[in-house]
Amino acid sequence: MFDFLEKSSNIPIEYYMWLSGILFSIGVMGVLMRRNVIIMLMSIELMLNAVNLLFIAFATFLNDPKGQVFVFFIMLVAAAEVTVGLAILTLIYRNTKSVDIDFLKKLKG
Amino acid sequence: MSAIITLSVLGILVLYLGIFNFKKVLLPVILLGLTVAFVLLATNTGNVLAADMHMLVFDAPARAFGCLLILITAGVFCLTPGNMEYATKFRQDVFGLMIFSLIGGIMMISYGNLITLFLGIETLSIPLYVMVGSKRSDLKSNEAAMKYFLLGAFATGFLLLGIALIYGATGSFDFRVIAEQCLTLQGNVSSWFEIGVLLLLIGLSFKVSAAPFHFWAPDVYDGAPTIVTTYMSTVVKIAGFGALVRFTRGGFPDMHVFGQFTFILAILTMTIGNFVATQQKSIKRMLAYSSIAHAGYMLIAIHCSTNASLVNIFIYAFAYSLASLVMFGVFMAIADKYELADIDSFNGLSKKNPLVAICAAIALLSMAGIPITAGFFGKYYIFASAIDSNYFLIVIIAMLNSLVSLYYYLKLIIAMFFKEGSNDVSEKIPALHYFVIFGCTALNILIGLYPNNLMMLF
Repeated sequence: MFDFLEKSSNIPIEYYMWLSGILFSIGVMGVLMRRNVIIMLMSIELMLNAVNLLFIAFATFLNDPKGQVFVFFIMLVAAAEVTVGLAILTLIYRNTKSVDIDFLKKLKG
Repeated sequence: MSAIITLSVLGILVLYLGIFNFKKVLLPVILLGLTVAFVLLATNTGNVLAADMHMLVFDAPARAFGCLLILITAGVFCLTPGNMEYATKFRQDVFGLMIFSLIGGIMMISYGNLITLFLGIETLSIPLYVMVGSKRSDLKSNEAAMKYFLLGAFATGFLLLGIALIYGATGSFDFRVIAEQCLTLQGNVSSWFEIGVLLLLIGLSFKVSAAPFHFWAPDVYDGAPTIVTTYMSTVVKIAGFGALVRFTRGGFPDMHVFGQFTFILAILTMTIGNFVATQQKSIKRMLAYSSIAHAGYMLIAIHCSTNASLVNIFIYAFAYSLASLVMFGVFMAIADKYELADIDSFNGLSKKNPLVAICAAIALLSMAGIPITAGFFGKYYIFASAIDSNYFLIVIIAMLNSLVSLYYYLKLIIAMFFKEGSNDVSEKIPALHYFVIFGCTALNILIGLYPNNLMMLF
């Protein structure tokens, strides 16, 4: 276990940045390309979690606990956001019987 | 700090008042609470906890912006009688959410740390998603809420990535420390920092609906209940610009690197806002695009970031939100009952209700920037300080844009004064409505006559 921790601290910070960058991009593409609202919500979560990973990596890299504290704030806000998002989705489902975003095109002009 | 605590208690109190069926006293209690918070914020001098941690800093600009936010929110609350029928049962919930959202706004204009900036933005936004969707059986309101939620959360992702990169480059969330780091490193800041600042600016531009990140704004403004639209186009915009100007004036020495970004943003926002607004039939959409255009003018002050930017944006935001309150107040009193409230619904207002028509005309002229209104000085100060720092091109484009904006503002004025309206009896407008419309118009002209008095707040 400790051996593993020691070895993992040898991984350069850029690797973590690449990983979270790729995860973030997957999230962005998911929001932009998918039409199912639940999957879009998941993609947004993926974006936020990619940022969480980056914060943790930086906090370890800089040896500074503030970044880890920020992750808790992000998790809290993400939970609140998803709650509201799912509630709005439930409303829409009641009115349209669908979770497809393409049903939502009443507002135009 | 005490203002934020007062508002939190007020929000919870409002929810309980609703549960125990004291709906008659809701509005007086809210207005009283907002007054207390206003006084506490205006007289706030020293800070106990927050100043040590440098989390929330209530310096003079923060106090001025905060008092403006509370004042405008009180105005929005005064417009609620007669406009909340869709939520007869859940009125207290929407009221409570509006107060919580205001707390987020106050955090956004007084942050000293990126953590409080992020939490402020989210505290402002999350109640708003619910408020936008509060007309529950109306599919348009649902759709607006969904769009706003998805794009808001999307923008939050970019904002957070920006904060993460800034943190990685400087090792701190504290604004003072970040500025110091920039000074000591003198241009050797890692490229993460610049990308981070850019991403953070993108996240904030989403919130203030600056083009090309404005696509949600017209739909959301259109679909949301009008009272929420009023709140969004005034309070949310002021808070967003308060946060932006605090960020760009936050002591980063190399902010001119991002001049290109804000330059393009300002020009696109003004031009798209004004030109698309001329094409709109629905008044609500037109006001939405005009609010995008006003964001463009305020971005000029962000772009030529000088010491005067803070006060210039403050005066502009003050003038704009006073005029907006009047316009939305008149709109709710006259046209909101129609399915598609187009410009014809304002026809013949001057015959039916001359005083209100004059107030609306003054508000529109103020938005267009005609003298003796506050809007003129808002534009004048921003343009003058841009010319002082040799930004001629952007000022010329802004001038041309104000000419275009006159077209659609005058269209409304012509409809009110020179067109024959239908002969149906005008509806009774609640007394508080008149209070807001006349009060804001009076304040508007007062600022137009004595604009220097606002400068003394800073």
